[in-house]
Amino acid sequence: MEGTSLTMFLQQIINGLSLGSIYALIALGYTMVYGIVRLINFAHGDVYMVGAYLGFFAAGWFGPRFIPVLLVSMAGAALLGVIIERAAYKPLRMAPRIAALTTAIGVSLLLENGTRFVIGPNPKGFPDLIERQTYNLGSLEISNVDILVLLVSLGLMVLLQFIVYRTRIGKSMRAVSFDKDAARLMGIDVDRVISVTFAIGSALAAAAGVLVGIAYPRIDPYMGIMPGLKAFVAAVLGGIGIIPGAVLGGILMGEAEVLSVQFFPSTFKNATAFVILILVLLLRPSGLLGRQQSEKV
Amino acid sequence: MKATLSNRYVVSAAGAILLYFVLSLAFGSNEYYSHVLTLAAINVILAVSLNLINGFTGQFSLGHAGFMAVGAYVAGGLTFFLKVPFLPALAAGALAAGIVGFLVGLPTLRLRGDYLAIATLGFGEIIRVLIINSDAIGLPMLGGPRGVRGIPGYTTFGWAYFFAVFTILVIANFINSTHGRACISVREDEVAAEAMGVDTTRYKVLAFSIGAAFAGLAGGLFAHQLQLLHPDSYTFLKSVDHLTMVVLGGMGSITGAAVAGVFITAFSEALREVQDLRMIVYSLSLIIIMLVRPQGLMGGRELTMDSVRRLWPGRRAAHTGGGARGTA
Amino acid sequence: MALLDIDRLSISFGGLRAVSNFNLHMEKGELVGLIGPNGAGKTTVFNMLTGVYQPTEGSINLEGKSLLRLKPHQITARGVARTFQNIRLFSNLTVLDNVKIAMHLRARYGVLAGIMRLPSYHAEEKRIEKRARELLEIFRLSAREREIARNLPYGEQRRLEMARALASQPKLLLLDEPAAGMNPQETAELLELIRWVHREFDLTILLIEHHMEVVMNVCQRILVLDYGETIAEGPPAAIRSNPKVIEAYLGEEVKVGA
Repeated sequence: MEGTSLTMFLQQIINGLSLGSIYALIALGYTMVYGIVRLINFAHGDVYMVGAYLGFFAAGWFGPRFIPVLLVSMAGAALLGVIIERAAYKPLRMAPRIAALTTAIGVSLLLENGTRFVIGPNPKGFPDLIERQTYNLGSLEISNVDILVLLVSLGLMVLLQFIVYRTRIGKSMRAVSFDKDAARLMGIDVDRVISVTFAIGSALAAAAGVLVGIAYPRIDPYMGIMPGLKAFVAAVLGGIGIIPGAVLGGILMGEAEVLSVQFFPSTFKNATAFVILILVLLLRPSGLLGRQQSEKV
Repeated sequence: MKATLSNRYVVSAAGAILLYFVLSLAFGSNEYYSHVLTLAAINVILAVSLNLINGFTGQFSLGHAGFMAVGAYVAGGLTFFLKVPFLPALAAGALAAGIVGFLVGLPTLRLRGDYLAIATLGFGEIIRVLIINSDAIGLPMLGGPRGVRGIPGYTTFGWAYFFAVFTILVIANFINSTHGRACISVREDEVAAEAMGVDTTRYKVLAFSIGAAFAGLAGGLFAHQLQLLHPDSYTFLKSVDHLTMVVLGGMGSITGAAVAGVFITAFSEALREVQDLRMIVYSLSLIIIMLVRPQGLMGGRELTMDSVRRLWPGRRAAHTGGGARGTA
Repeated sequence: MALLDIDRLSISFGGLRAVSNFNLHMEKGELVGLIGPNGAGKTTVFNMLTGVYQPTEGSINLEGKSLLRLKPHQITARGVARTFQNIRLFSNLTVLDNVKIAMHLRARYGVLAGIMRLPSYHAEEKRIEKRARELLEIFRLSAREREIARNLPYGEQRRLEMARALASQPKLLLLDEPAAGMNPQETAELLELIRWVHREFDLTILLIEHHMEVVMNVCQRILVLDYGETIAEGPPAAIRSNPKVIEAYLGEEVKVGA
């Protein structure tokens, strides 16, 4: 009946929203870093994974309280992001992009295997930070976890918007992403701005990691690979380097994933992200919200 | 002895044959060592072929394992199901991989550096996903996620070594020709290369396809050594292995790629028991090499051949093709 | 039939009209100069001529055949060669290799012939090497043959750029500020070199330059661009005293001595 399939469709949309928010949070990190240093931070998905683990340990230290766990995780990941940037990416700022990408792959693998080495390959169970409850909106269902994900994501995005458009550091970030050399000539400490960008991006990814830990309580060292990839596709889809693009792309990827399970066998799920990526790169590389750029000869 | 063209060839050929006999005598009787040497030869093919794409033509490909998979499944499928003899099957595998490389390269090679890398990674994964879902795409005999066991064990050290030498020879000859120089110019400066009359798109796709074909050859050899076809053998991590070899040896150096291929094989075997440690060392070495010596072991590029020749004046040049002195 | 016919050539980038209604007809063997303040659109004209940019309006015909919508390497194949304002040598390759690559179009053997080292490969490579060495000789770079291009002093890099451009045996040579960064002695030598090359190779040359000594002394005819528009055209003497030209460069009416 029409009513029920509409209901099912809306339900899927709702399910897709929280998944999309997660992708959006991670995608923001990709897009901000690319916007400022033109680097695809291959290791970003693994920062998300580290964030989840940090949350896991924080819950052990502070008890299963959401806010402290979230804050500790975000702070820790921010620090990690800055360390990675300073140690591995900063020295290669003038090097060809291939060198930086190779290093980023190295960092990604290091995080994955390092975590596995130190903590062990077996997945850990993320503690329940809140008691699960499902609410009903008419015939639609939504769990409090989903609501938490949506609220936290929204809150963080609003905070990011505030930082980027209403603070001095945000203005500096925008300046540096527009023209690094001009920004430096205007007295902006470009190195500091870049570090801050990495810190913010990593913190957002960690928040996503904690939220995912709550929603799907199994975490393992390789959990960052696929979400990282999908979030990257989301950032490219929306327009890499464009902050609203990351949010738009994230939501779209989340919805696409939830809806595609209806039509394709789940084993194709991961390939869908790649197919979308390749289509975007070939047909509209600047993304949905992006502008074309050409090289000056 | 005058270093004329034909003399150089004879010396190189003699050197290669000599090396083979030395290795066979030393290690041939021991099955384990023989196995590792075969693997090393296969990795040399993969490293040198990837180097053609990444190192010489400057196109960052992260999907090499995908082409290896194509070659493996085509060659393995032919020998296993259709009882096709070894060499034609290998050739078919290489050809198939080359064609897939051409089809993938054509749309993808318009993209710049990092985007190209991600796109090739994507294609590599898509190939793998297609194999895993072989039931769904009408090729259930490929075994999907379970793979196919019992591929005939045709690959011997002799064959692997032969094809490794063959690969090095073909690619070295290619590089030391006007077409190879065209590829190198694409790496150096695409705009200038076009202005010099080089059809940059054509040469990118050419290098890509040749590289893919040799990866397919390696895949066929690999399948007939492992005696197994399985999608897990051709993941992105495999492509990272190949990347590590090229980076370690020095992008744009055939000798470097070959040496690194052997080295990484030996290293992997040594750390076989501790997979985590191996991956950690790999990842650290990728980072450290990029930071400290991005030109890799050999320092890369044409100088390699010349400097090897200069190191041992008058004796065997490491598979230098004929041609002018300015180009190594 | 003129060698080069450019009519109503225009290009806009976004909203900015970079070149507007550019017209130029060159007979075979002419040496024409293109001058104007920075940003006037001179290199943009070159880029349109060589297929790097596609004009939004107008036509370009070489020996009667259109060059529009061709890719740069195809235009080079038709006989147009250029040097770049910011030198674009293959900086990590040897001087000899830089020239050899420029001879790529004239190499008559295929990929397989190269791999299998057929006789055509050997014959052609010999010819290429010989010709490349001849060119280096002409440009006094023979001693530098095996040097890596980026290690060359600036003046020699510029000469290598020119040697490269000539390697493809062009009909039309576009020189983009060949004297940039040169001291007076180097500039004088360059002047001689351009004159010599013009005669010996029977070339048609279009030259962008800021060094007025070069332009005034070597060009038969000069076009002046300002903000994408042609504001003057004529022999050097006329251009030198043209008030519009003076104003474009200096921003005010001033009497200029030679």
